[in-house]
Amino acid sequence: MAGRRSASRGHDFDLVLAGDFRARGEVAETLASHLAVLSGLDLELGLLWLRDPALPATAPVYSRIAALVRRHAAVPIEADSDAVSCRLLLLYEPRLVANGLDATPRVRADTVLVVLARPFLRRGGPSFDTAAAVEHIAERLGRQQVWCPTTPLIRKQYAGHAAGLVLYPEDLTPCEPIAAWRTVRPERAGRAPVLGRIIRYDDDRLPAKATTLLGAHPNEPDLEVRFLGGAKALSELVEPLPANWRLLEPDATSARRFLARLDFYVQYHDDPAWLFPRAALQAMAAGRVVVAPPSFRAVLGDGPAYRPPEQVAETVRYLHAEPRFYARYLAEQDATLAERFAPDRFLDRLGAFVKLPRLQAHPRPSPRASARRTVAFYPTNGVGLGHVTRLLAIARRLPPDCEPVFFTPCHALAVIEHAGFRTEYVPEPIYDETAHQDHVRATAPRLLTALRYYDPAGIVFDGNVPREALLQACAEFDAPTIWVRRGMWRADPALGRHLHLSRFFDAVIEPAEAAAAADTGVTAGAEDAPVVVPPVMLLDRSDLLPPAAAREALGLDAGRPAALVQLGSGNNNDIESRLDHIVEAASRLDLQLVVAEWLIQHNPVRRKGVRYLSAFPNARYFKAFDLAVSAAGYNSFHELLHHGLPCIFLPNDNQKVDDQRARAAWAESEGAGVCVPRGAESAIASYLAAFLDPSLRRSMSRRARALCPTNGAEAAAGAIANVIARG
Amino acid sequence: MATKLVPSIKDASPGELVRLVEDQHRRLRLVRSQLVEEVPVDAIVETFPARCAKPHLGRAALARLLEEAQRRRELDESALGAAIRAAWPERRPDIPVLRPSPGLGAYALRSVAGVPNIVFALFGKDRGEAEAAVDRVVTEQRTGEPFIPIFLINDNDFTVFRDQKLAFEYFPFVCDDRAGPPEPRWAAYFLDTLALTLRRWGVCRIVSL
Repeated sequence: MAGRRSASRGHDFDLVLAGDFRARGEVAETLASHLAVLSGLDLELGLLWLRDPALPATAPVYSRIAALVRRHAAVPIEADSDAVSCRLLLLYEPRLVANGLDATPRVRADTVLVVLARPFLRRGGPSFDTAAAVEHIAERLGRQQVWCPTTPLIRKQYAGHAAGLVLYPEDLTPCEPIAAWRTVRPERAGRAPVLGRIIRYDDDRLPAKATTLLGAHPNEPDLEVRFLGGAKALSELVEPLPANWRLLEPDATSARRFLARLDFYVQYHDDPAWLFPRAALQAMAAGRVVVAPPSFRAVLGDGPAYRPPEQVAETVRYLHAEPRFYARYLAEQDATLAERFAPDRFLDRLGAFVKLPRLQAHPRPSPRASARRTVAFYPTNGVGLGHVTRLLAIARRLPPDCEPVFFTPCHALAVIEHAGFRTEYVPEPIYDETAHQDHVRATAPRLLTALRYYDPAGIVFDGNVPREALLQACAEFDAPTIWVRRGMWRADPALGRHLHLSRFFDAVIEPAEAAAAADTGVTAGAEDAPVVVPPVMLLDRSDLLPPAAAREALGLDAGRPAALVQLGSGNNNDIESRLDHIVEAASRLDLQLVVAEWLIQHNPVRRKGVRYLSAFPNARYFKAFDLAVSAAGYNSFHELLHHGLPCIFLPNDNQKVDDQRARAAWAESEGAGVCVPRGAESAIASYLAAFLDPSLRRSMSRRARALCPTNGAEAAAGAIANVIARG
Repeated sequence: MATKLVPSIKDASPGELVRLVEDQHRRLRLVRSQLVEEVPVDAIVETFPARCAKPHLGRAALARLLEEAQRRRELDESALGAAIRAAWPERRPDIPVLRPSPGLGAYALRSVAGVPNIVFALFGKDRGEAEAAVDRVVTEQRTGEPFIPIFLINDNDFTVFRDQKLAFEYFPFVCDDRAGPPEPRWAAYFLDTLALTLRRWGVCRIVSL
């Protein structure tokens, strides 16, 4: 949307919003909230720079405003424009015009509405010369001007200290459009309530006493407390920091996404009126119950739970356990939003000065409003294709209105494109040998550019350790993030540090582990309440080739037994000697061998006289075989069980995270397979000989199928769709 | 591939460096020829042609976009570029210049400071053409002034780069001379991506092969 050009370098707008768009804090939030509301109308909106010399020249535009401009909400006015006109100009920082407007294009506004969004007094005196500001506004922007405070305290300060300044009789009350903030709260089942507080640089008010702060943000193991920003102030007030507190850097995520991951917004300090508690209003708009001290009622109205700090823990436990009462508080907050802080009220105020179309009468089309929604999938690939395969299984089962796009470091990304999904390659330092931190700093902007292009409604990561570059990119892109995290991590407490990264995700989905009883890793006791779905596999039982067709495709003799060997990529373990033992035994037992070759194998291990299969997915051919000799990675293990192919497991013990041996040993204990003990690989011939007994194989196959009866890919896809639908 | 280099690479003269790189190449050729002899004939190999929708781009349009990306990069570094950005200063990440693997063929360069990156575009080349082009680059790397190559490709077969441990970037589009003008939003994305690529590798030009 461009302003109507009326002359060279000139524009005619309906409304112009003027301020320093690089600023952060209450004034910037006020401007951004107004712009968000106005962008829902069919108006020509311009943005006029008023440069604040106090800000560094390199400071970027505030991210919330930048995002709106990126979505074509308004047009920045060029500095050399010479004939800008508009019906109404909203001026957000009058102190910036007190010293003149020489560097600003001359504007002809029918009315200038000066929005007073922050206290006038600084160190007991006026913060700028209002008379000079009035004069410069009249000279450069428009003769008719209206000065309008946003809160009673600001009104009182201007009324008492700005002599001769006429204030508009009604406040321009803060507003936040619910549509821009509302997300659905995650289901509470089995999850500790999450309390949060946003501490902005201009609103870092904390209680004077540490006891009050600790009362409002209790150090209780059944509660999780998160702060966005304010780490320094918090650390100074409370030492040591409670174990259940999570301190996030101010830019670790957007305010909207931070609020989306909370159950309660808790804000406690002594003076609620000095600066409007904007983040609490945003939390109300996001649909989270606000808990605040009783003194906040005068500012926020009815709806929030007003409690003394010592009652916060009890209140959140109660409301978390009783969704009906939580909903009742929300309903009351929503009523207050509609009554006191509604965008309609803001528009009604503007309507006194300019004719406006009705809100939502002509909503601007949003890129996400299209019928199909993109969903981004980011599988890492370690030494196999497990993460890729799992996300492919889920992607192909998403609802039809979702369009998957993949970002991956997988060198075998051809299989993803072959499956019909667009794929972007994301290099990893382990492959291109770049320095890790440099790589993160260089890759995050690349990912962010891609996210902005594909505009996904959700971002799904599958891997053991969420990639730093992805987390950084997601911090600047507002979409729900989901971590698909399989269990069966090694019983190494040090791996627990990765679990804390789940706070950067809106949901964790855990494809179940058939061998869950043997899972002694940290994910087994994870407190981030993952959504558990049955084991995820790419192929359903009906997707496999029938036995005769599979044998024919692989050129196998129908009358002789055949075994599939899938030892893994060999990228991190020695599969050569294992293969030699198997080849030698097979030749003695007249067993036909097909050795699966991993698509990303660095150094293929090949032996003369052996048939190799370089395919994806291998499971399609399972019915060609009487048995398998296999590593015990998540996908291979569950595919073999689900499809009932009797298996001799040779676990890869060199995995950093995945505990293959525990998985395989469990299968043996259940009579659904055999796990070759460590160091006994040379005895594989005796295992193979035993597996030539059809009755043994039948029994194992039956047990295996019973242990892994369901493919959870559909359920995982549904869970992802649900998270995305929450917003 | 551990190779003890004598004399130490740190005090090697340019002439010695060239000799060392040639020695590395000799060893690599030896290893590769040994591997080739072991390739079995009894293999069932599936292929994975892309079945997803990718943007189509004619060669002329591609050349124009590459040229524009390079011009933008030059502008980006200039005072005029800074002035343009100041009109609406979005956050501009500080991107370090990466130093990737020089490739197994010249792996000794890994420990040599100051070796420049050179970005080569192999867009529109099939596997055979890409391999031939990589061979030419690696030969040049071995015989001429030392450099670290980075390849831009739009073919999803990464084998040659993975085998030789060469840095590459993949751009998912199809070279198609029958294609109309690129979709503007995708073209803008492609240009933004190329701009980041040039910054990441610290170069202003892309060498099209």
